[in-house]
Amino acid sequence: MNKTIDIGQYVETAINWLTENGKPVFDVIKHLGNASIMGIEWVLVHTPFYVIILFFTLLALWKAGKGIAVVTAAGLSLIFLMGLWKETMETLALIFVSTITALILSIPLGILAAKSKIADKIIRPLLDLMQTMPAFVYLIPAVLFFSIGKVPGAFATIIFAMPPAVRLTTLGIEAVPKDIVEAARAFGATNRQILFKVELPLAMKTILTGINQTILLSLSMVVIAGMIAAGGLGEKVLEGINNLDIGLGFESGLSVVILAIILDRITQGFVKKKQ
Amino acid sequence: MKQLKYLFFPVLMLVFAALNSCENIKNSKYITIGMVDGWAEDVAMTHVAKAILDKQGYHVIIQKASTDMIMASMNNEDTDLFMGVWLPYTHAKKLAKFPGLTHIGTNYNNGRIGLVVPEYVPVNSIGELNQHQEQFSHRIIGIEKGAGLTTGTDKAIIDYKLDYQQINSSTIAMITELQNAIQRKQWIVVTGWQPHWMFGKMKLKFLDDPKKIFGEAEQIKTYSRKSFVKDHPELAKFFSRLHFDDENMSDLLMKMEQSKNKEATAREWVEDHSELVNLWLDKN
Repeated sequence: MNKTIDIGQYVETAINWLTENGKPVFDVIKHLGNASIMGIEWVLVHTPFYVIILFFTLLALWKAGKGIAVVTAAGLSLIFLMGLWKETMETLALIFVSTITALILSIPLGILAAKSKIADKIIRPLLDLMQTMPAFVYLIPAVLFFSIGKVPGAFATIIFAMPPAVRLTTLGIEAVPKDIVEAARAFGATNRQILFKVELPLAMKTILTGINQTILLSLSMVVIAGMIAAGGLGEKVLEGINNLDIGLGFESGLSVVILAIILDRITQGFVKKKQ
Repeated sequence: MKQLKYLFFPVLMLVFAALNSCENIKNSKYITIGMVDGWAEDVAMTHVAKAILDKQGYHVIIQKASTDMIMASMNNEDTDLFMGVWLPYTHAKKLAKFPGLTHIGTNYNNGRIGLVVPEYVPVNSIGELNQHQEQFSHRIIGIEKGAGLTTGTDKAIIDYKLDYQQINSSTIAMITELQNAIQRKQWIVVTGWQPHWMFGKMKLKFLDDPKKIFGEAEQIKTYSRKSFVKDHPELAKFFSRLHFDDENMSDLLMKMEQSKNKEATAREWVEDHSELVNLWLDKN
């Protein structure tokens, strides 16, 4: 198949230009990112495992009920007994930093898209692109910008996990009844007050659903990020695959599933509490 | 007071950043070695190097990724070393993309890549494959797309005018296919390389390559990031001396293949070969 149109070369030129000229910026991001991921990882790994299990169990009990609390305690104990505790904590640290960063970027974008028609027209196709581009493709610029390690893993994860938070924030704010906003304005509320005191609280349930989706997408990407030395459970899953080690593959895969169930139910609990 | 909670995370990150940079200045003993999981010889040699250097008081971190990713990371001056560069053929093209890499030693001399069949298959040369497409069902089982060996095989298919298709997935899938075929005594042709434990585990042979598409003997070399030699002259010297002969290599690969814990096996191997290791460390 001959190439008549070579779009790839322009993308390549752009990425190479960024790699050459963005080095100082990327280096700062790399150091900050590494420091925060490593720091949180250090805390999670050095906290005794029973303290962490207790913390998540109580959180589940408070937000998601007795059943989930039991599942949380049992699931995390199982991970510990399978000897995958350290990797699970590494993965948790990576998800935590990726999710927080993704939310810091995506919630303002979501608000912007809800407030401005033009912004919405620009952001929407970008989100489509981010969500449908095969996740592996993000690994290429991630490595060129940040080398291999945890930061490029987080970078690829953030791109992959942002869209639902943006979309659901927009959706939540657009769904706020117009008459409530009018009433607030009639009482002399400023735009800022309307956003923070009226729209965001009313949209909170939808936004939390977006956050929940972002966490779960981060988790699925973290495994792919294992291909660029991001460590954690992803690396263990790949080790299982690369050495035809069925046991290891299954155990690390199971740990990912347990983590996903726990994080999903707890964040869903936050959504339900809002009703 | 309420505003303070928004400052909590940024402050936390800065504290971590400060802690980390102190750590780094204090500790230039952190060495990162890139490794391709699934390449038996690279995994084995990297673990041996880690076992030796950990004993010398360094802190070696193994980073698993694919060849190009590791090379890009070294080109950015981040990852320190990679012990699995195959030259002059397999990785020449890949290496040309990354000008910032420095050659610091040769680990092994008798590497070989090419097409491999089980010993019971009565075919001895790539040129003969076209007489037996049916038995091989027109398929050459390859490894990853984008690997040097895969590119070489594509070239061989063109140059030998083979009526075959290369099926690419992963190294481990190729080995699984090979093991299954051997169990059933079926005909199969795969892309393979030596040193590799599959040659110890199964009776295999390379097909002759009269057109020299896959080159002659390959060397496996250690490359480092540009300033590594300046930052760690003593380590550069160690890696220039580190070298496995055929006997040591096949012994190590067999032990690694049977091992459940590669780090422990590497430590044992280092204990058992203290004379050789001391020679590498220049301690005799």
